[in-house]
Amino acid sequence: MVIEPFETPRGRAMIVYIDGLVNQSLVDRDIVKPLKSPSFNGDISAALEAPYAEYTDVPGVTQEILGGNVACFYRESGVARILEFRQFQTRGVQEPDAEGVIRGPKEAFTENIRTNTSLIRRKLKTPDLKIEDYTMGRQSHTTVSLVYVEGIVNQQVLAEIKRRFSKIDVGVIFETGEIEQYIDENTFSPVSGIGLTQKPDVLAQRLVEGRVGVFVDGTPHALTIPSLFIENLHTSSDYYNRVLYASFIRILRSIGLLITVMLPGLSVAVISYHQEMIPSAFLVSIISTTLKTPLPVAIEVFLLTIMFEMLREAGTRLPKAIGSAITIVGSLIIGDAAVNAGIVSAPIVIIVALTAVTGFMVPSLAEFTVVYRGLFWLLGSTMGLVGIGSAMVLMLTQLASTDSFGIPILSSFGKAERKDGVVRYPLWDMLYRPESLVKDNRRRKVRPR
Amino acid sequence: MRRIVCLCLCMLTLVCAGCQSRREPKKLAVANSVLYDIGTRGDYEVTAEIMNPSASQGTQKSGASSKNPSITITGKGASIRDAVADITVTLEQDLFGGHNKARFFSEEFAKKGMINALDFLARDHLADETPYMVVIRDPNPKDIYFSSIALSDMVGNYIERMGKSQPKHTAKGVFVNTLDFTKDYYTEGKQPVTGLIRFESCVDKPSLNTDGNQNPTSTRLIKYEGLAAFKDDKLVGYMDGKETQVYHLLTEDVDTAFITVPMGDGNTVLEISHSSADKKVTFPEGKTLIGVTVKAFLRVVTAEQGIDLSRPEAVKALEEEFDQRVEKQIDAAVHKAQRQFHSDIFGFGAALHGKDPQKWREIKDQWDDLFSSADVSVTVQSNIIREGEIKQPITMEDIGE
Amino acid sequence: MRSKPVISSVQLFMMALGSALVFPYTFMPILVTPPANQDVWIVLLSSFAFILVINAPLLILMNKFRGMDINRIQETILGKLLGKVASLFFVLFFLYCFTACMLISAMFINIYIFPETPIWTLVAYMIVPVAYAAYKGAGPVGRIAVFIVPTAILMVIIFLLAGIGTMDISELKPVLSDSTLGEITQGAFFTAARYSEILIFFVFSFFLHRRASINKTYASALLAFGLTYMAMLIPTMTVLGHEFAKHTWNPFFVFTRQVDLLQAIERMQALTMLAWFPMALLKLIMYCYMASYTFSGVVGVRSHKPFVFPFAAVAYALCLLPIMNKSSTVELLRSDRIFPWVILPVIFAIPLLLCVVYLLRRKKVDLLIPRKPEIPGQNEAPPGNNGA
Repeated sequence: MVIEPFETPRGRAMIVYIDGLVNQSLVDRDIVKPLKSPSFNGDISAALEAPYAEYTDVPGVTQEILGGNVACFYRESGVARILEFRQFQTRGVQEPDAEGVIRGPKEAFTENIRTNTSLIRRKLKTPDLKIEDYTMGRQSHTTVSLVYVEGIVNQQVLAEIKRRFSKIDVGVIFETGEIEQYIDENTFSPVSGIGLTQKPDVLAQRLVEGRVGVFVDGTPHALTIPSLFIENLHTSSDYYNRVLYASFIRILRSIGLLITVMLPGLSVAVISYHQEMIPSAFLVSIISTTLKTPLPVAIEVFLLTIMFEMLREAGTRLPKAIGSAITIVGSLIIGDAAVNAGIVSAPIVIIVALTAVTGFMVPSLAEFTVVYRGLFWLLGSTMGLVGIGSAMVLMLTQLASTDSFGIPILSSFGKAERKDGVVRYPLWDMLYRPESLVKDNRRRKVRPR
Repeated sequence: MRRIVCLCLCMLTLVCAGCQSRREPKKLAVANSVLYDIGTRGDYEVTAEIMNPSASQGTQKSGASSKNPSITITGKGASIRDAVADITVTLEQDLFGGHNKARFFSEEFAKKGMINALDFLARDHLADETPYMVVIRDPNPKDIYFSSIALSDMVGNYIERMGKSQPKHTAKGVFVNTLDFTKDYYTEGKQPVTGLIRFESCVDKPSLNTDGNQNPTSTRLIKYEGLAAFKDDKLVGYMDGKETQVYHLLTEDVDTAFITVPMGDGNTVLEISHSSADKKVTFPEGKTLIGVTVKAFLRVVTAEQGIDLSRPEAVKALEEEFDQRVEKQIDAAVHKAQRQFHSDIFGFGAALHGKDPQKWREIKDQWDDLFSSADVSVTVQSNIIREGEIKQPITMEDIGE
Repeated sequence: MRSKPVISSVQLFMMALGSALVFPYTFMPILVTPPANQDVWIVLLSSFAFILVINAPLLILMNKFRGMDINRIQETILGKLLGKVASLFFVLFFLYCFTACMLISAMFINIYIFPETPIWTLVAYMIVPVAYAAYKGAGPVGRIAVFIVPTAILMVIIFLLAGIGTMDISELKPVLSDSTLGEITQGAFFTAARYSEILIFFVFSFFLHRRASINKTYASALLAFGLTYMAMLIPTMTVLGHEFAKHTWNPFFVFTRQVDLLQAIERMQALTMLAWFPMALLKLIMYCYMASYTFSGVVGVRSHKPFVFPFAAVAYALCLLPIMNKSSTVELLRSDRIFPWVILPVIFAIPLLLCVVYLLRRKKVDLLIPRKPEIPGQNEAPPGNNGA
């Protein structure tokens, strides 16, 4: 902290700020120089060229100084003037590391909340875009912003979020993930009803569909509340691409999700219990390849899946330069060696590889995939197709009964939601906002044809 | 929280309890074909051809394998199920019948009656209705497992592949699966048939197996030709290749059939590309008259004797010659079914049931006798629609001059 | 989720359709109802007239008393005590259906798929998801139905297309000559008596979105049921032959064993299992929920949740009785001698009674019907959106 008293022609003055958080030259130019100059006539409001706020209480002044502002004191008056000359190092606006798209803007949020709010303001230049700031965390005093579009937002959801915010009383908040867990009502569910995004255009699209956005100072990840399940299968480029391609890719993603969740369990169930339902050629191949392996098929699948998850996790920890090479080479060589050594069989390796690859198609559902893959495997390996059917009903029930702030996350079959669900209708046909989210002001656009 | 604990406990108990029906694939002995026979002492003998998985694995890695791709085991018992259980006395893995491709029956078994086998097979939850049913016309039906099976590795696969390819090239064999047999058994007015196999030795020819090591002395060929005719569920007789063509014609099941028509000095071979048969049963003056009108559409395959078939008159003459030949052929086959089998395998009764149910209800109990003593009237109307890629026969020269 | 769940008409349609299709998928009873020959498809067509007649009293009641749930309707018409007694009959019926369906499904699995597994394991594997889903309430049940039922219908279409080459239309001839009008009427009556899905409408129409029309949903569900049943019946009869189909315990499943797709993909009966089993579970979920819900109304408890697990436990215990473990018992329970006669009192006799009493006490009862339907929650839907 820098406490700098200096003499003005009319009396003593002092500025207090924290080194590293302020722009030194601007402080000198806009505060010190005018006050030190001979033409200073004691009228501080005229002398200070920058706008300022007046504070009279010590905690408030302390908080402002800690936030990176400059406090200016003059001649023992009980008033401190707070001026904003914030400048600190932060990462610039870059491409998002996880939500890459081919078509669409490539800006992502940064760790500075002001930059983030400025990015979203540039997307929605309407006075209805409201940003409300909260401060959370006794030690961190983190700024948390609530963003929504007045007139479209779901008022019940907004009220509920504000109510839950008021209940948060913790020491530190560093990431939106913590806020998410504090306000989430589905703690043990594999799917939360709260979405995540790093891109301003995605956030803007979700805001105009009635959702509420949450920023936390210090993290580029923004929350969108509520989040329907179908959103995990959407990417922003779906809206910028044309109808046929966008729909095709979405269907592909849905099939990929089904494969990655059900394939291990389904394959174990059919191979272990229903050999009469496998085409004969496959059965011959499976029998001859599993002949030498010591483990039952169910255990093989389980081991390989776990190994793949371990490789994936290890791959994210490795330095970027050698990470991808080691993962690819490692999995290839290890897989091949395992097959040759007779520990696992080739068809099982193929099944697990397919599962893993399709798992990357829907990254936001990673937790969901892992949990339900396990459930399907467990029930499929103990009870065949009967177990798969039971697991399907269990999974669907759990998803169907999960609510996000009062809105069921599987509501994707209303008239408006169908047009933007598993397939995407032409943009000029998507006339209404989803009725599960938005109660008033539902018309998006006028039909251009 | 309590709910989650309950759920977990439930799942745990189920995990422990639910593994009874599990079968590991490597512990299976997959039966590829099964042969049903009656032994010398009157008990049932069931022979299963079981796939040998280590043989197929070997061919991928090393060179030629000296292992047989399949093994055969015979079981004997007082009932079919006892005989199957007897197989497991010799076999160390679980016998698995879900991928059975063919069911062979010896003559004796077929003469005694098939319905017991069908009952057992229909109840068993792994044996389904897709395997082909074939009668082996040989005193030693087990020789099928020591015969040459051309390009396949197991007899069941051999029959299955033949079932897919043979109908496209000839109509001399018939492929009946268990469902067809059962349906025919239940259908009023049609008796079931099955396929037929006989063996032919080929002492002079070398082995036809591609794998030189396997069984170099197998000099027996499998001939899948003809059909075995049944009355209710008992075997009553056989038909040869030509008569099986008639069977296909009359049941409107022809993919391809080749008929040779001698005309002049040489032969013309015509192919039936599709045909329809209209079966009628009428009762003029207290007698029974079976009539069938066959409409056939033909293609010329070979024209040896130099007829210029681009001229309609020649075509007409050929068609008439064809009609006569085929009428004789059909007549002969139907007579055989009447006199020798006393069994309506062609489905005339079913046709009557479809057209005149009232009349059928009256006479259906005596249909077998009425059929056997009926008069037959056959009409064939053929139509040569294509002649292939050349218009005039290759022997003809100086066309158009 | 404190507010009352709302079901859309699409969800209700799927629920009714899925529940109705379980029996054709499982054992196709129409094959053995009189006349039990190749004319059963005519029986199916003529059964729809009977269905409409049998379901008429309940439809009238539902339309008149829109917005009141099943217990309130009966109490309003019959008075508190008699209304509760009438509701109890419904509860008993739901329990019977729950147990019977569970037993039939478990028996099917035990016969065709897992002969060695003891029946208590099979029923346990079914009871756990069923109780869990019924516990969650009507909203999730509707949402599940929208996923499960279209899968099953898709499978029916796939097998229809795959089986076209194997179908033998001459199996359907001669038409109408082997059966008498009396037999066909009898068969149509029995088939119509098995369609108990009107009760699903009776219970769940309380949750239906205010703007949705009960009659339209009912009609479309019935139509879809007819079409799908026909799409299952005709291939089964023509491929298997009606006589053989009658012998088998599950004709549709046996039919799916015969067909192959493009001559390359064989043995697709796994698809049938995958489609059928969740649908059977859905039917069980619905009956369990309906039993708990109606019973909670009888005893005056607000939520159905306390009763789900006890009812599930009772059904489980009933299924484990030794007499229930015999396939002959199950065959008896689901045959024409018992099943239709259990359903008819509940879907026809009691509602007819209710209608008659209503007509007699018309003035009093009309005063008790609330002016506005009691459906909270949903705001006005925008134009052109009829309660999706």
